[in-house]
Amino acid sequence: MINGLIKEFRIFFRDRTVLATLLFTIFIGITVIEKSVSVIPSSDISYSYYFRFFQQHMMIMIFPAVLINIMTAAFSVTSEKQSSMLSKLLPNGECLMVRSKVMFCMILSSVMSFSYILAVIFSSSLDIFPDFRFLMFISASFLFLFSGLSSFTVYFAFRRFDGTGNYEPDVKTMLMYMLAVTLIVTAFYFFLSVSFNSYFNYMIGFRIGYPNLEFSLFLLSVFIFHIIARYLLNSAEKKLSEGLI
Amino acid sequence: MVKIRDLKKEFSKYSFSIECRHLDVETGSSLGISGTTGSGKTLFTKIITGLAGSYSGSVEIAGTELKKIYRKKLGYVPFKNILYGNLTLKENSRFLLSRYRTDPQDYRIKMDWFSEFWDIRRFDGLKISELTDGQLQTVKIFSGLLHSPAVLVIDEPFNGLGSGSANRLRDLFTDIGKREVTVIAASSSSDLLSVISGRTVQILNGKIE
Repeated sequence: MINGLIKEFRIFFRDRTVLATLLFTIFIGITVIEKSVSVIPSSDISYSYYFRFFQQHMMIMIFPAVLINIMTAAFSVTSEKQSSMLSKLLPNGECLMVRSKVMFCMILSSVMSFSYILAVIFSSSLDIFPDFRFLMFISASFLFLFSGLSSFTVYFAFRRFDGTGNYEPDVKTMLMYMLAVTLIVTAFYFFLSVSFNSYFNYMIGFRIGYPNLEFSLFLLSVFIFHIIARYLLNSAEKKLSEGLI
Repeated sequence: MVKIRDLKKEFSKYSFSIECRHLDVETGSSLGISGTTGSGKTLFTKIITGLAGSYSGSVEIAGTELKKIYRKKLGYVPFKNILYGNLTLKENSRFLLSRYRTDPQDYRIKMDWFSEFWDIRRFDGLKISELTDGQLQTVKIFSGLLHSPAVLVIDEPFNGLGSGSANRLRDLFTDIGKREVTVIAASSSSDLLSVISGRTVQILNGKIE
C-alpha cells in the first residue's frame, strides 16, 4: 500500500494543472483566514459571535476536500488510462489501484481541510471555545465524511467513467458526479447545522449533557454514509477484478 | 511449458473468435506467432495472459491452468505503453517490483543484465512519456522481464525498434531461454519473427494453424 500511495502522490503532484489548482486553493484559504481574522472586534465579543465565526469556518473546511475529490476523479483516475491493463497484470493490482486512490484522496482531503480549520482556530484564538469531546466528535464525523466521499469518488469514476475509453469522463458523467457530490455535501451541511445548534445550546447552558442526541445522530448518519460508500467501492473493485468494467 | 488445448474465445464486440486446437511451447523455447493485421494476434496474446476474461478449452502454464495462475508467472509486453507516463523508469520499476514482492535492489541487478542487450541505464531518471518509441519499447521489454516471469508474451516485439534490432532480440531471448523463460512473440513481420524465435506458427482469421 505504501508504494501505491507514493505512486499516487507522484502522479497527482506531477500534473501542473493539479498543482496550480492546489496552490490557488491554499492561497484562497490563507486570504479567507486573514480577512476573517481582521473582522473580529478587539473587545466586547459575545459567545454567539465566536460560535458563528467557528461554525462558518467549519462549513468552509469541507470545500478543499470536495476539490481534492473532484481532482482525483478528473486527473488521478484518468491518468490510469494507459495503465489500467497494468493493474490487471499485477498481483492484486485492481485492489491496489482502487484502494491506494481512496487512501490518497482521503489523506489529502484531511490534510487540506484540517490544516485549514486548525489555522482558523489558532489565528482567531478560538482554541478556548471548543471542548475536547466536541473536537473528538466533529473530527470523527469529518473523517467518516472524507473516507465516504473518497470511496464514493473512486467508485463513481471506475464504475461510471467509460472503462473502454480508459476512464475518460464525458461532460454528462462529470455533471452527474458533481450533482451527487452536491447532494452529499448539502445533506452533510443540514445535519451539521442541526448538530451545531444543539452544541451551542449545551455550551450556553440551555441543554445538559454532551454528546447529545442530535450530535450522535449526525455521527451515525455520516458513519452509515461511509459504510455505504465502502460497500459500493467493494462492488466496483470486484467488477474490476472480474474484468467487467 | 505452455500447453493450449481446444482454446476458443468469442469476441462479440468485434464479431470475431480466436481458436487454437493444439499448441505446445517447451520451457525455455521461443514461439513466434505471425499473421496479418486483424488476424487476431493481439487478442490471442490477451487470452493467454488472462486479460481477455473467460474462454473455453485449456491454457496451461508450467502445469497450472491460466485461470488459477499466480500473475507473477506471466510477463506481458503489449503493443501500447502501460507504464505510468508521469513516472520515471526507476519509479515505475520499483513500483512493479514492490507489487511482485521482490527486493527493490533487484532492479539494479536486472538493469545491469539487460544493459548487455540495450543500454537503458541512461533512461533511468527519465519520465516514460519523455522516451522515444524505440527507447520505450526496450523499457517495456525490460519491465516485462523485471519480475523473472516463467512466460513472456510480447505483442509486436519490433514496435519502434526497427529490423536492425532482430539480432539483439534473438540474443536476449536465447539468454532468457537459458533461464527457463518461455517466450511467445506475435508480429506481422514473419521474416523478423523467424530470426528471433525457434518456431513460428501462423494465425489466420483468428485460427492458429
